Amino acid sequence: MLQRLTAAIIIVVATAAVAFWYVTMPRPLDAAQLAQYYPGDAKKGERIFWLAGCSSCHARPKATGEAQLRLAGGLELKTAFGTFVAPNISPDKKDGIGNWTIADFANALKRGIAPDGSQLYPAFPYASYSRMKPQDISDLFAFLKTLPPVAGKTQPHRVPFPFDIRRGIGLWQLLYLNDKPYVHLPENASAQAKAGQYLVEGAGHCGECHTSRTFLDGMKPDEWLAGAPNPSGKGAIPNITPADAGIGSWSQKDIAYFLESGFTPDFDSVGGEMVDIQQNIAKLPASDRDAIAAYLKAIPPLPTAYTDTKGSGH
Amino acid sequence: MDANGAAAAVSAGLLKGEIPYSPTVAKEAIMTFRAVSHAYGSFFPAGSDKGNTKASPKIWQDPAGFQAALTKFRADADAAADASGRSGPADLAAFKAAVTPVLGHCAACHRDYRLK
Repeated sequence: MLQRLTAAIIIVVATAAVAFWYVTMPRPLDAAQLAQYYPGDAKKGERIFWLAGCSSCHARPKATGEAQLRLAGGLELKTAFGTFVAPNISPDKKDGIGNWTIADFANALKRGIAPDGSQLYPAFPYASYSRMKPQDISDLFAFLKTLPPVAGKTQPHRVPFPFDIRRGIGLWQLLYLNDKPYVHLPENASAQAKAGQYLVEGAGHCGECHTSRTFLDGMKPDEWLAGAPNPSGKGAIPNITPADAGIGSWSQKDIAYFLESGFTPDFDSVGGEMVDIQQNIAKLPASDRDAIAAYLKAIPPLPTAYTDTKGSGH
Repeated sequence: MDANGAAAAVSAGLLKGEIPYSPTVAKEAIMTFRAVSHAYGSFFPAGSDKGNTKASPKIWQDPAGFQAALTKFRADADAAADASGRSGPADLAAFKAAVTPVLGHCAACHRDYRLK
């Protein structure tokens, strides 16, 4: 009897292990998908670089000017799952991504997989970048290659058990990694709003901070851009849907002007982490800011999903 | 801060051409910035980090850094006031040159010392 029970337990555990192994397998791009990537245009890639905000995490904290192009990493993101350290993504061959191929880069952005096949933590916002077009990823890669190589490996992530089991990320990816739109725009949405959807939901990765998350840390599509706790500590990230509780009173022009100048319609200024992001977006062509603004007027208005009870309102 | 915001609204209106340029109006905005820059340091006494505030705890954790940021804001506001002369910046170009450094302090300070 005992032997039978032991055997049964072994079978159950082994089956679970095999299932876990199978379900959490890295899923890289296949050959046909990789064929869509090619040597990109660095000049076009610079626009994607600012839109994706690479330097806000991968340059030294508070870098300005040329220093924003030195992507040595080192910024620490303290989260409920542990402390993640933004790695060196400069073209340094030893410590950065100088030896990466375009396929390596595409797999990192689209599938959250490192060149050695291990899964990347979603602190790197590939659950948004997965929506990027191969052309934009190719151009971005070409631009990154033109930046100065910076020597120096960053500290490893400090992530406690069980989140240190990389394979577990596969489960998260199975649940939350896809390239489908986060919201369905109305049929009659303008071409401008649709262009904005690609910018906001993809490279711009606005939802990563502005959308609340499930207990497994996936973005909730039904609370899309409706506000969230500040991932870096105190305070709330605001609701930017076109509801009264969000930015419904802002015109499309107001939103575009905010992204350009950092001033709200009542001439309060941008603050906190958004300062860096706004200054990145200010470097884009005006047509991109107009598209982002059109999209933010077209998405469903939602009540605020999270309010900081201590410090909300003006 | 509401006074600063109102002065920023006037400044942006002038810069964007939504308000016809007037040296008097331009000077009024600059002088408001200057007045706020001189008063602002005393708005955050010890203990006022509690309750309903958007102020970042860094104001009290790093008072030297906060004071340094304020000093720069004050210096640029003083310089803009000096450049305005008696009757205000003569034209839009002069106003833009004077006020742009001042406006830069809004986001620079809110980035570190306000929560959003």
